[in-house]
Amino acid sequence: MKNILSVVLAVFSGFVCSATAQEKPNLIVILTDDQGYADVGFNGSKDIRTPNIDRLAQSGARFTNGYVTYAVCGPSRAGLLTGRYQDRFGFGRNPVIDPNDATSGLPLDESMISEVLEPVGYTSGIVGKWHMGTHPKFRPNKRGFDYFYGFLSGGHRYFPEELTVEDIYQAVDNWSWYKTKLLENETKVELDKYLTDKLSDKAIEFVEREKDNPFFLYLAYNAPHTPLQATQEYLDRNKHIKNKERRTYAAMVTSVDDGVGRLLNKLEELDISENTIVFFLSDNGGAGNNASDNGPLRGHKGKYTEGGIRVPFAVSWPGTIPSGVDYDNPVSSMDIMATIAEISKAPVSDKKPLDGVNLIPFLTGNKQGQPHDALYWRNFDKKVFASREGNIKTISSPKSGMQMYNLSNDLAEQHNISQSKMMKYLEQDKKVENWNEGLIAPIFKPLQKSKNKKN
Amino acid sequence: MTIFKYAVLLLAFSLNAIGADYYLSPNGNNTNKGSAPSSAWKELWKLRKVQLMPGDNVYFEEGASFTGQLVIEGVRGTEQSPISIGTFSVKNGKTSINSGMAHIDADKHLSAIKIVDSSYIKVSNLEITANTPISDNLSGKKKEMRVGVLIRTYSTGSYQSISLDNLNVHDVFYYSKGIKRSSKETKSANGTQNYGWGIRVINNLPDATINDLKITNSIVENVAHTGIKFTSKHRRIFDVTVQGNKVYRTGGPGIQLSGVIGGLFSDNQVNKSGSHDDPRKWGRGSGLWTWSSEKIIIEQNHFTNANGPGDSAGVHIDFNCKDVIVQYNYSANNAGGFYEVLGNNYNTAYRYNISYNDGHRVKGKNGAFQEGKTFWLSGFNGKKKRKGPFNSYFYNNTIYVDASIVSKVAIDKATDGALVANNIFHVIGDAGYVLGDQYTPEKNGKSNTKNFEFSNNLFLHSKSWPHAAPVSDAAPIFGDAGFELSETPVPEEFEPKNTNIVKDKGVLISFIEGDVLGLYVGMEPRMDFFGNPIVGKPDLGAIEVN
Repeated sequence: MKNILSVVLAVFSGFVCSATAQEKPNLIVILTDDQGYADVGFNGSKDIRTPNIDRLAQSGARFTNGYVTYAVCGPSRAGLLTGRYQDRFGFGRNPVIDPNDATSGLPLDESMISEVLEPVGYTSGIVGKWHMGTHPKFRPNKRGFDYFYGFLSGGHRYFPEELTVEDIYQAVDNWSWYKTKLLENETKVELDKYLTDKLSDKAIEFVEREKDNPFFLYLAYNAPHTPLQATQEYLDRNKHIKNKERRTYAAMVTSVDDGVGRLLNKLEELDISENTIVFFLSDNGGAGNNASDNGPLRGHKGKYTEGGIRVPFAVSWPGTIPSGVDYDNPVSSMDIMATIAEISKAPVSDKKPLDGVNLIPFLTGNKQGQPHDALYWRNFDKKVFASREGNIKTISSPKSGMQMYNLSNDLAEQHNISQSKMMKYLEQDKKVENWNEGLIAPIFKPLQKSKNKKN
Repeated sequence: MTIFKYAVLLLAFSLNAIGADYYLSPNGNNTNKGSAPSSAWKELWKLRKVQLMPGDNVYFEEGASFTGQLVIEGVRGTEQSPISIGTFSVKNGKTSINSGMAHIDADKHLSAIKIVDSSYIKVSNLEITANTPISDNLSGKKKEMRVGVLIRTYSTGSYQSISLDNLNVHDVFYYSKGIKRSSKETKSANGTQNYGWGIRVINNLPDATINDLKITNSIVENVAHTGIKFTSKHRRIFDVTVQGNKVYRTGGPGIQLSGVIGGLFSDNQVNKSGSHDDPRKWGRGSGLWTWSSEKIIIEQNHFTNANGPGDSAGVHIDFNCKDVIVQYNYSANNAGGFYEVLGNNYNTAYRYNISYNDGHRVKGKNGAFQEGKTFWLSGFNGKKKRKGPFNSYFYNNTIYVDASIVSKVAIDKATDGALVANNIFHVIGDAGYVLGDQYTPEKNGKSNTKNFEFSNNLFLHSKSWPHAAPVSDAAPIFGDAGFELSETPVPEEFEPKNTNIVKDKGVLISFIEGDVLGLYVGMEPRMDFFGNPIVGKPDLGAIEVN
């Protein structure tokens, strides 16, 4: 892949100057769940083949330093969907899956991408995992989404015969919500095939239906989150992987990849590729329990070392973003909202300023420098703070204390340099403190602890 | 500008960027250019005539002696092109740099090497002495100091990266031999007269910083006062590394830091601090002590045989500090004791250290004005009202006190937040409680220490902790850890033979009630005294048993 320098050169020589941004391009966000940094071909996976996701990345930009805002699902998604650090509005932990709990959800005075795009004429659809609150007032159709197909909780089982719980109100035991029937808008529907494939079908249907409008499709696969479940067909396509768990995980990724391929084909078939921005990313790093691989990055989901928060991340917008770009400056999932809001000129509340930035000028070479002065993370309950400024990463926690790493020569975060660079650490830590002052404590109670499973 | 001129300029610039070399040799000549071993200068003062630039090197001939003062003032190297001061040798026509040591004696100067307002300077392979007396008059001049290597600021600015490596600084004195100091002088906090110091770093300007100082693999021996000392009134010395040094027979403390933020002091051997083997020496000093400093790690050092009538512990944390971590050190035969934390200190820890026969000093004997102590929390903080120390963590230390010593303990009533757990108090003789060792702290009223969490420590017997102490272990374990010590024990001998009594008997360490910060390096120690992982629950003492 080319690096950003070649993009700059291309701009100088006028190759991409003729390409003009569409005024109201469609937006598709494909989000996977607990997928490891190294579990896509475009990040060098040796055993898992993702030709379609790679095709997406190659047609646009691969973010080598792409981050999410939290190391587990719920808060990470809240950051992505609002373009703001979720701790600004108290989404600092996973919400409770209780439809009677009117506090556990994304506050109604915050705007999601769907809500921001509504006034400028977009139709929005979410297919897959919601996780932004199960109380009726928090559900997708109340949050700017015209269409919803999927499930409300933080995870799900994949085979139709396992979906035995009729209604989320009946899912009183922990994790029984993994077995609820699916919803199409507010209507219960029967699943008739492997869940991931069905989600792809529904996403494609949505695109076909909305091809003439500006649309936002949020395709939130729960794969490859546990339980590790795949069809024989996908398992057979991953026979080269000996480890059973890894093979199942790979098979789940294969199903996602097939879906991405079919969706991209559909965009081409409908001739709307050049009018559609497609982001692909995972909601956090690969988990410790799903046989994922974060490659050279240390740690996994739940951790604030790179393995927990740096994710496979790519974007394509044929005709506008040059193909084959490797973009190495840190970017965030929050940038997705900022990008589409700026391009579509959708109004954003002054009182709720976005933390994300429009990435397109950085990718076309029109803007130099870092999109973000710094990125920050907080886990309120564990008192963990992390930051990245340039190549310097800091983490602090009661258990492990102060840590600072220079990612340019220590990607695996092995050499804690906080003690020998205390001046720099304290300088950066001061910024973390300032950032923290703009945050609030979680507004809903924590998910009950379970010994065996994590949400 | 013509292209030719431009090219010349560019060439000049590139030559400069490579840096110039200056050579000094006793066989040289001051009329030489100094730019090669064959055209070396003879004397040190010639360097005063050149402005050192980034990438420049100064080389002294290996094995040679020079007298005078090496002054580096207002010299700015860069990160990529520092300025190096080192040595060279010529053997069979071949020049090698960074070879054996050369010697600089300060002669009548106040210091042998003086680095002022400078950045990116590296000094290595030099032997430094300063023993020619400046004065014989003890009471005459205003306070003046003799220093082997002095690094300091006189002007506002941000000064970066100065390193001293493989130096041998010894015999630094201000007065001539035969001068005697009074015992009153030794009782004053830091001495009032003139002394010789090994290496000093001073930045007392409110608007200057010195950042990134390294003193490594060096020897400081036989100086009148402190071996290695950092001073910054406004706390504007950042990121200090002092590693792999040997500091012996200093008349004052071995190592001292005041106003340092961020410091790593590791793998040093400090022996016989507070030495009084020369009457010109001060005669008092802990192996290492901190004052008004923050974010300091003191680990894997040996502190032995500190002497003096007051203080003179292995390590002590003087007042106004925060986040000082003392871990994995071996502390032995220090007159003042092992654990000493003064007032207005926050979130300090002593953990995984071994203490052997520390605190043998007896008040009143040989001029001692304080008892030696095994364990001392003091609220003293200068002229201010006594307060703290706050949140003092003391866990997994192994303390061995033989029968010749009464193990003394003092706990200030102002102590606020302390955790004492998982330690081995192998006190063979008696233990005693010390009242009012410093400005009679316990005179008024009974103790009102707050949040004192004291439990799960191993005591050799019921007298290993003084009954008169205001606090005692809530869940003590009594028994013999089974140490088999030789006459001059080494740390390995402190591994308990009676493993059953210590293995997995430790409790997990959590925040003291009311403390929201804990330890800045984290509560979970990364290893035991010897670097072995802590498996399962921690064992008692500093060593995870096999």
